[in-house]
Amino acid sequence: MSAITPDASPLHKLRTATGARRIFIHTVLIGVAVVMLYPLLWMLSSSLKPDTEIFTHPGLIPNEVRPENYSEGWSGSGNSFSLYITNSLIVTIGAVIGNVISCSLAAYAFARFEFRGKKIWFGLMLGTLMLPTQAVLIPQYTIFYNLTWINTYLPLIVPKFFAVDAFFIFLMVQFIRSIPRELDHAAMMDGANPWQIYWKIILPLMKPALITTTIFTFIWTYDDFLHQLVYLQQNDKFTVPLGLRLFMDQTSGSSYGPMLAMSTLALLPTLICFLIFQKRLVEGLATSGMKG
Amino acid sequence: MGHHISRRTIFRTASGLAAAGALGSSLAACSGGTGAGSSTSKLTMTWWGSDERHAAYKKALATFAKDNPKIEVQPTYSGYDGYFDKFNTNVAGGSAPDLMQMDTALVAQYARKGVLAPLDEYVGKSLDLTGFAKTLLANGTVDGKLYGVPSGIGVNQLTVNRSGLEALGLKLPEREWTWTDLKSIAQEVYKKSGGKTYGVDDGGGGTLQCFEIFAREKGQTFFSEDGKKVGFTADTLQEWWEYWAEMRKLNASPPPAITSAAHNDLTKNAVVIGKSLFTFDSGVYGAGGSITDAQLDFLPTPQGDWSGAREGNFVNGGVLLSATKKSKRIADSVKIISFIAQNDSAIKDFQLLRGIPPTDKARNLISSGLSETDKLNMANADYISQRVAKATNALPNPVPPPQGADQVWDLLFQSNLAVAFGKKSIKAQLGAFFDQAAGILSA
Amino acid sequence: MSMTTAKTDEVVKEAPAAASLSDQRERERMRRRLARKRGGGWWPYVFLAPWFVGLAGLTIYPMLDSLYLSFTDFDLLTPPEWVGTKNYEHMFAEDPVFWDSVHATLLYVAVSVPLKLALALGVAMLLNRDLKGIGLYRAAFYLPSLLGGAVAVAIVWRQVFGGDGLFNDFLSWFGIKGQDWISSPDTAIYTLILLAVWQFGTPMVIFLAGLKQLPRDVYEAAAIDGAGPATRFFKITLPLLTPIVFFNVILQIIDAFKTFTPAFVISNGSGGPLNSTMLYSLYLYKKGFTDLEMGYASAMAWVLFLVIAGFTAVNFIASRYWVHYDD
Repeated sequence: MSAITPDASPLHKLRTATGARRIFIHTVLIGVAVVMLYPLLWMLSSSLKPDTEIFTHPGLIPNEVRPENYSEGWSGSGNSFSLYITNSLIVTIGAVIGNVISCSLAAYAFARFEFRGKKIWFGLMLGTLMLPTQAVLIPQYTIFYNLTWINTYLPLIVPKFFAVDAFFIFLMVQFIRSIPRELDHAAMMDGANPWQIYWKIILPLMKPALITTTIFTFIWTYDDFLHQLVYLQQNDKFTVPLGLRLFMDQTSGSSYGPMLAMSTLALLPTLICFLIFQKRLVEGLATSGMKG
Repeated sequence: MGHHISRRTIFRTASGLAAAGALGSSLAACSGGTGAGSSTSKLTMTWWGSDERHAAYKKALATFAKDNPKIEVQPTYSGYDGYFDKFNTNVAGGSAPDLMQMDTALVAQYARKGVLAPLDEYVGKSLDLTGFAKTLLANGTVDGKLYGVPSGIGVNQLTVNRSGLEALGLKLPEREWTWTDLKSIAQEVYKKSGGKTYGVDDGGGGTLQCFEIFAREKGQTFFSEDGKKVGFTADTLQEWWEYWAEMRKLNASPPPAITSAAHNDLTKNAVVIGKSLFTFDSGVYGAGGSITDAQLDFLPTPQGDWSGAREGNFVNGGVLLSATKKSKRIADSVKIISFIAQNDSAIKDFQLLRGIPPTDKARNLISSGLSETDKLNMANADYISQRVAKATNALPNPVPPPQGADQVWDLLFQSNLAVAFGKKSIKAQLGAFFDQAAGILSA
Repeated sequence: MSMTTAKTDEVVKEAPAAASLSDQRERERMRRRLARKRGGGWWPYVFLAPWFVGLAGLTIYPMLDSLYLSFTDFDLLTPPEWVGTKNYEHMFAEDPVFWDSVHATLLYVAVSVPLKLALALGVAMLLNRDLKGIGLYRAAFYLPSLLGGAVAVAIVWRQVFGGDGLFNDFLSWFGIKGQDWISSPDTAIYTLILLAVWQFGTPMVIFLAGLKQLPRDVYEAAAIDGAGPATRFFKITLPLLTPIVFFNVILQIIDAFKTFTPAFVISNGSGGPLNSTMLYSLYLYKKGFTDLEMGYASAMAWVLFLVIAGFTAVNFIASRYWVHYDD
């Protein structure tokens, strides 16, 4: 378990490519990025157009710039859009904390212990991934209704503390399994109990998986429409996806400009979350772990 | 600011009308509304609509609150998407709102499932329906009982890009016009525009009941009286599809890709994107008025020019306000319904946001504040409803859309598309349509 | 005396030089304790406790409830009525739209999963390096996935692949006259597939995290041995990455079978044109919540469940031959 300092490794030389290669890589990356981002650029440009122009002149450069889309969208219908963002952050951060704690506990058990019926439990865990959410929506709603949790954020947060997102358990199991067991054994020799091993060894070493979980939980919860639609009843409890739909009504009128403006703006929290955490993802094992 | 209220809108029967009046005072054994204002919890109310409609509702409710401080309302509002999905989940879970905006296309279904409360016992007491035509109330009446109070008058009309028409040197057709007239002007549009613009949206899929009007001109209904099968013959549908096949061939109507793109998406409507000048989708003005800069005008759906052709139009009721049956606040809900229907300031708040107001009083109150296009729209709607009222050969109003109606409408749309894309011949698709429609309606 | 055992046991790195009898006993006890720990005791249940509660209360019960509902007529508004296997019979024998949805879904899974994974792995490899502005690149590639199934996606996508859309503008540079891709029944599903591929951020991040985890010393050894990039990829990276590849394959397949939101927003809930984008979950949702046939929708859910479970089981069995774990 020797620590590797990146600068000293031959690998580093290998990766710090020559000038020509670096330019080539940049060119490829920029090329792909432009294609990928073109639709988003269209969204950005349309968010600055008047409604009459968005669909009749779909080009990238607006004939007429209308920044009011942002101010109108922000002040919204009765509630400021900042309220929806705040509400979304409450739900999202709660869900992230729940998932990181509960899924890592369960994953540790699946990855490091032998116990009766483990295979069956593991199969069940995977099985819960396979049933379409739409089918269990009604029974789940009934449960939360009986708990009088409707029109609160509890149905959106509390389940995460009970590791209902099997995706992340499975993700973490795969990560823990690629951490050498020798580390556990060494700690055990030093008299550590499983809880201490989990806390002192596994958690720090599975940082990339925890960060991945954080990013995904954040984004998926932030974007989830269906559950927020059925559980939140009162407009001042609404979250971003519900707030965005308020601009859209096929039957009596939509405000496309403000909707696109707020959709663009609504990307910011998730983008910031991604930018912060992807950095940690990079650091990952290279700096924090594997020092034995 | 338009009148197109419900994309699923279909219209309620007049057949139960006399009965509705007679039953007006019947004290049917329904779950009773308990004392007004006695409950401390808030009355929950839901509606769907645009920003403007939300603002109007909230303003009206604020006025209501001044006079009725004991009735506290907790509103939830959203767009139409997901509105009924959420409502269904709430009903299944046991937490339906007390008061809700209801779709005329769905009221029968919910009323028959026992979700909605009949309001007859309140009519003439706390529910003031002065000035509401009986034909209009029929839109909220199911099996003789009133389950929802209509917000306004709605009719099917063609929306026309008048400025586009004039730019080609063509005149807006007369209101008394026929399917043949539509064909010839649509061809003219294609020719005069040098092939850039088609004439009229493909109506073969029955956009917003235009096929129903055609069938009624033939003396047939869309659904049979009992709602267990369709009410029109294969010949009628064949003639309809052949008409549109010819329209497409003549380039009087756009190719199916354009029709398909516009399905459920007003932003891709051919009139909005400048690919045609006439559309059956009145939402282009109603919901999408702001997304086209063309000067719009309106025309009735064309009439039949065969001998014995009947008046095919009928009047529907915009959106409804309904109380739910399990609510403990029905009496309070009724007060709000009545207030929104009759209060001067509420009427002014709503303008045309829930359709052309149903009473003469309300229409006089708002007429001064309307835009030019709003006035054109209202004038054409008036023209149609007066023609319907005077017609001697019109069929009674359609029966309430039965369960599965949505699926049959969708099937009609998809069938026409299959023909237009050349996936099926008209003959083959006719057979498939009637088989599947029968399966859906008999289930 | 017994240093041999200590040496073979890699765990004990620094065995005391003068191993006494008591040391040996101590070690024996340790090993037993270790075996007991691996073998369970009550520790695993402590760690699994929250999951057990969630499983029983929030997952199993709703699943069983939906299994029951699949044998009933349930319109959400009135109590369910037992109808036996009618829903299942109707599905297989009498419902053409069901088969349209099966067809669309299989096509979607078969094309989108490999494309998405290949792109995600390729881009993750490109992004797994110390390059200036690498964080911005990562964000750029992840940005489309941030949009998820927001309403804006529908508008953007229909604009890109519509008749006058950006994609056709692009084609016209090469003198190709495009069509309206999104509203033609023959091409609409491919615009959905492209949307899935466009949002490849999830597997990309997982691949990135996996690549970060690979031990560098192995690469060093290979670099010293003079292995070229292709050799390094196929002989080192890919084998070491197999647990993560496996995870992504399993999850992307499950996810693709269950895809709902993109189909819902792109077709405005209709699954059109001509049911060509009527993905299974969309049809299920439409049946349950729009047509109010929740019994039928539940039956559909269980058929899908069994199909996915079958695919996953096959994958797990096959994984024995290609996935390498470190433990």
